Amino acid sequence: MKPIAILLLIFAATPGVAQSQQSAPAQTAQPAADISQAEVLTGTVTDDSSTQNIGIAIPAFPTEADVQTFASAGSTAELGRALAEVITADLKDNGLFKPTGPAALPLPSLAQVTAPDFPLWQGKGADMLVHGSVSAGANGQLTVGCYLYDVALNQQLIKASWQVGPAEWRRAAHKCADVVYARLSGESPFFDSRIAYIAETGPKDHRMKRLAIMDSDGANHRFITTGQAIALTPRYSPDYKQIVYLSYLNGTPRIYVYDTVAGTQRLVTEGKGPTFAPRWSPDGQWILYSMALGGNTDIYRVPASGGASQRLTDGPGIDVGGSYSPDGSKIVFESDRSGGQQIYVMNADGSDPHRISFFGGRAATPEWSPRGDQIAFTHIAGDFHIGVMSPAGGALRQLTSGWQDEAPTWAPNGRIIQFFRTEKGTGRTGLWQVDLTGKNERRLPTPVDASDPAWGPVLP
Amino acid sequence: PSAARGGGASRIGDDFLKGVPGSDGRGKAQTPAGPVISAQVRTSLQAEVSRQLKPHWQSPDGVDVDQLATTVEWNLNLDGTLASQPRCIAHRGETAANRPQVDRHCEQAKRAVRLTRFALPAQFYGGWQRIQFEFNRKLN
Repeated sequence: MKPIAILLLIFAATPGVAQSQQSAPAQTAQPAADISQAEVLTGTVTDDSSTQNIGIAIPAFPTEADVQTFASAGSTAELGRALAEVITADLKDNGLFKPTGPAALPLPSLAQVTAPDFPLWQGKGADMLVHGSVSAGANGQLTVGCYLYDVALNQQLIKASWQVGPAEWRRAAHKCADVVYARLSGESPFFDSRIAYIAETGPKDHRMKRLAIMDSDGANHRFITTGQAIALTPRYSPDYKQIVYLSYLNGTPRIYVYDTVAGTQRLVTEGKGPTFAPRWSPDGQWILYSMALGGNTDIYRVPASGGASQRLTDGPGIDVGGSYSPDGSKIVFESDRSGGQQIYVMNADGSDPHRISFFGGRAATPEWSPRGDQIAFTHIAGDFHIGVMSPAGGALRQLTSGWQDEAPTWAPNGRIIQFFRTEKGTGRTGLWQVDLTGKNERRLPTPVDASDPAWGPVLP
Repeated sequence: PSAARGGGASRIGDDFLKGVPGSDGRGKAQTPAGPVISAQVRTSLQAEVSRQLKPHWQSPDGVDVDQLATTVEWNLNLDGTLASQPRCIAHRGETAANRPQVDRHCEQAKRAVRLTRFALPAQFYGGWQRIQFEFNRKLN
């Protein structure tokens, strides 16, 4: 996917510099008195509300001339509405915002995009306002502008614009949602990204499992493998240009790397026994995996370019699911060496393995956060739940309470976890996301049943 | 640098060392010297400022944000308008998990101050002219 041109990205008042960017002090009715002698009134104010939703109005983006485009959404006027709808959908259900989309809002004029009618939006109860514009150039390229305003303070917080090809109009909407999310949450963006997962079809005893990719909101879905072989556990490379995954054909496990740019794949290694869970090292040089040989399952690493594998664990138990810390110095993995499945950490060379999970129940499929501050895992305590803990094993928090939630992977910003949920009774599987507070879950739409999600890059 | 350098002039008169009053014999303050602020009044002022800020204080959301607290300082005019823009002077409770929220926490706290229309008793102006408040979040 090509990078989209960023015409302009100005942080009018980012939190860190807001102090110097604010409007002039309020008009004073009396001359300010000498305050050097004034005593200081100190105190505390507490936000004890149960929800933190910021109301955001997102009306349709006006255009200077309604002309036909090659975008699937239609003319520039239709695009203006569709862009606002995609932004609204992105910002919904993450627990931070209460967006209102274009269907319920008046269309602003083009002039109002840069000079909003603040009293109108205050009257509608909006805390924040997203305005934008869309135009089509003679070359078919679309230019999309995006502005964020603080309605109460009558203040512009950010403005940006992008030039995109007609086939990539949704990316402009995701980019706009990303700047709004990043500006209002303080976190890194993630909407303009892709997701790899395993698409499942067919009866339970003859399941077809194909590698598939799609946009972070489920759009632009594409199958990568044909289904002749069973595909499992995809993971994006650190540069997000490749996907490693496990393939079983006629019972033979192979680890492949699929090049998302060239659309080709190459064999990394063929397992001599049942093989599991390939994962990248942070520098992209190694791939960790687990293999069962002679009734003993250990963790190995193999150069990503192929070559001889090196065994890292050497215990009598089942050691699987290794995941590197972001600095590459440690590996978290699952082992049953003490009885049930628990989480262990060892040095990257396999030395000093030690257990970190000591809470009730079992723990499996650990994955280190890209920010390094958390480890996500499947907590098995009766049902299967998604949990997080500190790398030292403390601060356990259970984020989900489904019947069978498993295989957590991280969003690039380290704030959202993706997993798959199996429905009780039907056995159907789907992709879900949960934020680190555990308060906000949402299902990702997929055309067929889905498992083993892996989050891809925030696109350039 | 000398206080008299540049555009301003020294506020210290020639009569300072002599220990005699200035020519007009009065101070420059244009607001009445308020009564002494008792502990009871101070407590009431604290509660009132907190009440007036509360509808506008919306903490950012995220992991460990309930551990963050930001102290904001600002000055008020007698009519309750801002005499100076609020500024964040301290924060505590920063963790690896809530670090991205620190600046946003500060910004939201300052926003609450800017949105509040302070209505406080003029006779105790000396007690609320200069304010330092800590903004925090409590999870239910």
